[in-house]
Amino acid sequence: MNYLTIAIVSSALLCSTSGVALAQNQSFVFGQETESEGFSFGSSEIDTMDVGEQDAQSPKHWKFNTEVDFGAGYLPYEEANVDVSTHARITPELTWRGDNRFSAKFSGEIAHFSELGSRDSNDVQVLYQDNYVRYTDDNLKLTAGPQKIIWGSTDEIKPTDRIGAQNFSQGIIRDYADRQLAVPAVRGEYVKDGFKFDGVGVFKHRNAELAEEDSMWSFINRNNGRVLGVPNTPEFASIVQQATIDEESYGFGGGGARISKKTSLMDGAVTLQRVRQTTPFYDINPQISAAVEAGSFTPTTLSSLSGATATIINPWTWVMGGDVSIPIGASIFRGEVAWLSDVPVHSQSFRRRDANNIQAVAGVEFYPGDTDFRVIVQSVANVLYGVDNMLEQDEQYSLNGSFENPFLHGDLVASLDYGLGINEHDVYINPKLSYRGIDNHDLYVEGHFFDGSDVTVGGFYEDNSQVRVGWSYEFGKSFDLPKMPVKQAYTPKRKYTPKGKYVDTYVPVPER
Amino acid sequence: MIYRVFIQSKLFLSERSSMQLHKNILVIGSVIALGLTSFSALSWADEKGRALAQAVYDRPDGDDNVTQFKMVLVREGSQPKERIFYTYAKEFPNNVVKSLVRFTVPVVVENTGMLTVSQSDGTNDQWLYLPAFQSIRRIAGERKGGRFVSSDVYFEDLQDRKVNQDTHTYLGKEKYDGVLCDKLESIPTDPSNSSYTKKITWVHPETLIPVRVDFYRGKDTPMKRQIVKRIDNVQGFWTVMETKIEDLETGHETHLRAEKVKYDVGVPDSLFSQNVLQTPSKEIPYRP
Repeated sequence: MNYLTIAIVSSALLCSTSGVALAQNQSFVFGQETESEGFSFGSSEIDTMDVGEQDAQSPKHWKFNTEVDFGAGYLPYEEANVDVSTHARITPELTWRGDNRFSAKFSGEIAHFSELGSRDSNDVQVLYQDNYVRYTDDNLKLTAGPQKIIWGSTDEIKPTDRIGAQNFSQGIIRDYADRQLAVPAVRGEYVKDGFKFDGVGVFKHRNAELAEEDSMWSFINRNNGRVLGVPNTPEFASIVQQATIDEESYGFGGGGARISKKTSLMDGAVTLQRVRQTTPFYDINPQISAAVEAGSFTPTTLSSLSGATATIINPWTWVMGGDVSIPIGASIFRGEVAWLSDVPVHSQSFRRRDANNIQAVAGVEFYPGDTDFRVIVQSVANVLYGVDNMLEQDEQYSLNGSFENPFLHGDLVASLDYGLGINEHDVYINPKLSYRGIDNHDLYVEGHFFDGSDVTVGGFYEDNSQVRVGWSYEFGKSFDLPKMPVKQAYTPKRKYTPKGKYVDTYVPVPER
Repeated sequence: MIYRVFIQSKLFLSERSSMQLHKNILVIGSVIALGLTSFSALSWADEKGRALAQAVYDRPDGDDNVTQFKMVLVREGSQPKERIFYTYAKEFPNNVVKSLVRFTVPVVVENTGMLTVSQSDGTNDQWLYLPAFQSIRRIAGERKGGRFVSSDVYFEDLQDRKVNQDTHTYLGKEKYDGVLCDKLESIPTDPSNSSYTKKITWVHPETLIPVRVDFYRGKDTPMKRQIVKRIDNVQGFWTVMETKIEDLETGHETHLRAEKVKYDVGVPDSLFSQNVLQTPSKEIPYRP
C-alpha cells in the first residue's frame, strides 16, 4: 500500500482502490452523501481472507446451536479402581425471537460417562436445561419455565447463589457455568432508576444432579465407606458400606429476591431467599443414632432397620447475603457473603442437627504487568456454628482462583485453576492447555490433581487425580421458517338457472 | 453527538466539551476509531499543531452511531479468525458517553456484550454480559496493555488519552503513500500511564484522520503499526471504513472493516442499560 488513492466523486477524478496515486493537491468535496466518495489507501485485503463460512447472524427469528464435547482421562492411581474415564456430551439449543416482545428457548443436555478399570461404570444422562418463554419490555423481563439462575459476583464459589441447582456428574472438574442446571421457575426482573429488582419463584424443586453411586465422582464411596465432607470413622464407614439410600422428592422449591445497583464507584446487591438446599445431605436413620448413643451399635444393627439406612434430603434454608464489585484502577475487587439457616450437619452419633452457616468470599482480579496474563485470587471462609461436636468441619478457610495466559494471539491458552485449604490440608490443582486456533473449536489437555485430609474435597477425591484430553466444538445456524402460503379467500357466487337450479361459483377475493 | 466507540472494553472520551467531542471520529467501536482516538488526544507542541488537533477533534459525527464491524485476525501458519460485532454509541449530558458492543460471530462468543460508560473525568465503567452465566459481570475499566479479543488492538488504543498525557513534537510534513501528511511524535508524560513509550502519527491533512500510526515500546523500531485503508463519507461524516494493525515483531495482523455504518439512528437511552445488555434481541431493531 504505497499509494494513497483518493476517491473524489464530485470532481469525477475517481480513483478506486486500484492503487492510483494522486497528487497531494487534489481537491476534495466534503459532506456529500455520495456512496463512492472517500479515500482508499492501497487495496483491501480483508476480502481475500478465507475465514470459512460463518453465520452472519442476520436477525432471523430462529437459532439452533449445538455444542459437542468429548474427553478422556487417564488415572494413574490404582486406588481409584479406574484406569480410564470418558465423557461425551451434546447440548442442543433452539431459540426463538418473536417480532413482538416475546422470545423462547429450548435446550437440553445428553451425556454419556464411562469409567473403565477394575470397577466399571456407565451412565447416560438426559437433562432438561433452559426451556422457557420470555416477555421483555424496556424495564421488565418476565421468564417462565425451567431456566438457569446465577446470582453473585465471585468466581467458582458463590455464597448467595442458592436458587439454581448444579450438576456434579463429574464432581467439580467442570467449570461453574457448565455445572449449572435450569430450575423450573417464574422470574421477574425490573429495572428502575439504576436499581434492578429480581424475584424468583421455584415451582418445582430440582436436586443437584449427582454421579451414579458406582462412579468415582459420587459423593459417597462404598469402597472405603466415606461420604464427602464427613470424616472417616470406622462406625460411619461400616454404615456407608452397607447403606441403603432413599431420596426425597419435593414440590415447591421456594424463591428469593435480589436487589442490585450498579454505580460508577461499585456494584452491589443484597438478597433474601427461602429455598431448599440443592446439595444432598445424607440423613442417617435415627435407629442407628439411637444404637450409637446407647453403645449398642454393631454392623448387624443395619440389618434390623426399618426403612433405609440413609435418606438424601434437601431441607429448607433462609439465605441472607450480598455481594459487591469494586473497580480500582486496572483491578477489580469482588466480595460476597451469605448467612444460611438450618444447614444440616451430623452429630457424633450421626443425628441430623441444624447449624447456621456463614460463607464469605473476598478476592481480586488483576493483570500483572498490564498484559493479558489474568490472575484471580480469592479467600474463602466457611463457618458452621450453633451445633456442638458436629462431625463436619466447622471452620474451613481456603484460597482459590486462577491464572490464565493466552499465547499466539489466543491460539493457545494456558491456565491454572486452584483451591488450597488454609486450616486443613486440601489441594485441587487444574492446569490446562487449550488450542483455540480454529474458531469454535477447543482442543485441550489438562490435569486434575486432588490431595488432602479426610474431610476435604481434595482428600475425598485424591485417588481421582487424572490427566485428560478433550475436544469441544460449537456451531450454530440462524434461520426463518418458510412462510405458510396465504389461504386464498373466495366469495361464493350463486347463479340460478331458468329451471330454478343453481350453480355455485367462487370468486377469489382480491388481495388488499 | 457521539464520538467514538470503543470496543470491548473501552470507549472513551471524557473530559471534553461538546465541541471537543465532535472531534474525532465517528466510529466508535473499534479500532477504526483507534487511530482517530489515539490521535484525538495529541497535544501539539506548537500552535499550528494544536489548531490542527483541535480541528480533528471538532469533526462532527452525529448524535448517535451504530456500526457493524468485521474483524479478521491473521497469524501466519494459522487459519484466519473472524469476529463480527455491532457497536452502539451515544453521548449523554455532562460529557458522558455510553456504548454497547455485541458480538455475533463466532458462535462461542455469540451474544457476549459489553456496556461501557465513559465518565466525564476520563474513567470508564464497564460491564460484561456472558451468555453462559446469563448474568452481568463488572470488569475493570482501566486496563491498557491487554489485547482486545486477542487482536493487535490494546485496550489503551480504545481509550481516550488526554492532551496532557503526552508530550507532542511536530515533525513536519512527510509523504505517506504518496500524500503529504503532517507527522507527529507523541511521548507519554508519565511512562506509567501508557503501554507505549512513543507514537508517531501521519495525519491526512484534508480529512484530519491519522492514516498511519507507529507504536514504539522501548526500542528504536516500532513494534506495531496501524494504517487506514479506506475512508468514506457516510451521511456527511468522514468515516474510517477499513484499517489494518500489524504487530511488526510477530507479523500478526488485525484487519477491521466497518461493514455497515449508520448515524443519527435515534437509539433510545435505554439501549445502554443492563436490561438490554443481557437481552440482545432488544437492540436488533437498531442495527444498520
